[in-house]
Amino acid sequence: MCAEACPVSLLPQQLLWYSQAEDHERLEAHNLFDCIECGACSYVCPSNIPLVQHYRSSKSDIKKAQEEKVKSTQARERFEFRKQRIELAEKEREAKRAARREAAKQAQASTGTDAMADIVAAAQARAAAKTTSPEQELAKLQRAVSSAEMRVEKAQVKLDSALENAEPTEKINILSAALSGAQQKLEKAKVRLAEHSN
Amino acid sequence: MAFRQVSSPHAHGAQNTARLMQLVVWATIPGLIALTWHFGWGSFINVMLASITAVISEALILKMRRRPVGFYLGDYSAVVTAVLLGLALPPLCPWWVVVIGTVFSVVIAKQLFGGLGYNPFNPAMVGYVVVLISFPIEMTTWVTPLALLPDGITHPDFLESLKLVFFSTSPMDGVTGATPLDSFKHAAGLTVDQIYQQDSLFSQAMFAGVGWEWVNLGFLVGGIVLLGSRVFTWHGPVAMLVTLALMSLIFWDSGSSQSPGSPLMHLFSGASMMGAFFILTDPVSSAVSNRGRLIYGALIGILVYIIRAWGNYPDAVAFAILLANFTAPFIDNYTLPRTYGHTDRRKATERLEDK
Ligand code: SF4
Repeated sequence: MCAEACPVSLLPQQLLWYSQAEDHERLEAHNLFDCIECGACSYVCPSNIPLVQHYRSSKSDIKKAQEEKVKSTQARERFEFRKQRIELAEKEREAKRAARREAAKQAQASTGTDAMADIVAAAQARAAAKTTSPEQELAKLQRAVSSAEMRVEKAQVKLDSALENAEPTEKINILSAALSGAQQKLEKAKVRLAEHSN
Repeated sequence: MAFRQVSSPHAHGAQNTARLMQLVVWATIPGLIALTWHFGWGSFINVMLASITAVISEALILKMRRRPVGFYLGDYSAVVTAVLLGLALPPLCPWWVVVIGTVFSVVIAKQLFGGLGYNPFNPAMVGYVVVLISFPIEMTTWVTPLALLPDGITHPDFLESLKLVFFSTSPMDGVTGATPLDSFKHAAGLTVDQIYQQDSLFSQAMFAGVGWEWVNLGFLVGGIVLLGSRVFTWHGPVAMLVTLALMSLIFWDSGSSQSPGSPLMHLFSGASMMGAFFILTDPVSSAVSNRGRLIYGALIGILVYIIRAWGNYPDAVAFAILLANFTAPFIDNYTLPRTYGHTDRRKATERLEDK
């Protein structure tokens, strides 16, 4: 009688069988997703079977399975793409390495043992360029001291205004901590400047 | 305040299994009265004996299966099976035939498959076929209808019948005889008209066979009551009766000596009406969709006729229904109704990749 009652002409009895068996394909073939969950089949069921509950749980099971399937395909695609990308990068690097090796060989072949001396000379030149002159170093330290002073001043101003406006104590605490931090940095910068000028 | 998530339905129909089954039992009463009137107390005793056996064996097997006994006994399904089996068995058959048939129906055909709702075959018919094959002599001796008994002899009264059922060792003589379907089977070489004249079973009948026509009318009435109270749909019974009538019309052979009998005789003999309205309408073992039920009923009609006309058994409703029970799941797979909003009917075996 449930099939008679169903407004969308489903076969509730079959749907129940397959939802108990978790046979998702059969459920789809029986158009489970056209069930409007009206409960008419359950209403007329002499055995009081909770049909709608079964259908709802099957529907959510199917949806979950589908989502998982989509997710897993996405993950698989992503993984495959990543593998491809890494392979490609590896190949490019390999090609570069090969090119460099080739270039080095050619260079060796053309210049012979001079190449070694050239490399050493170039390295020495680079190291020389890196070291800075004492004047530059001094100027740098002085800049550091003055900027630290600026920061201390700013922190002082902020703390003062906070005190004036009677801001909450936590804020004041934070600001005073910031001020003392800035002061410590200033001290350090001064010490370094003094060390340098000695 | 928390709202519980409740899904529909928020109300429930007044129908429940117990009431449905009781209704079926009540609906067999016209048939039972006709049987008792024409064939004596035998059927009544069968029904009672089968019901008691069914209740006891159902209780025992439920206990063994560790199921709530009271709950499942309260759905009356065992009683319905027993009543149908009792009606199908020949009146005044020995008590052990009834008991074996019933125990087989309830324990093996129903409970071992998982109980009500899980049996692939109609339990009453399984029991019937088992005893029919095992005890052919007891199962094919029918009592002579009242109207044909010689003057001065009546059917044994109730106590006498009980004695016969429980203590007699041989089928009784004197009050047993052939059924209309038997006579047709064994009256080879006679035309239908000759059979009708010679055999008082037909010559004294209104249109089918003495007594049998009333029994079948009784079941027809009961069946129509059930149809009216929407216990089942018309598709199965109508399909079966129409095919049976059509088959007997096609092979009627204008009453020659080869003819297996007239449509009326087939419709109102044997278990035709009982099978059509009480057995094949079993919602568990039959097809589920309306189209499926039409095919299922038609299949039974054809099988009944084939076995009656050309098979070894005079009646065939039980065999036909069991065979059709086999096919029901198959029919179901290919007769899904068109769902609202769809343009085509689908098949249950449709796989997602096929689309
Ligand atoms: S709940 Fe679903 S299956 Fe049941 S009658 Fe409503 S639409 Fe049909």
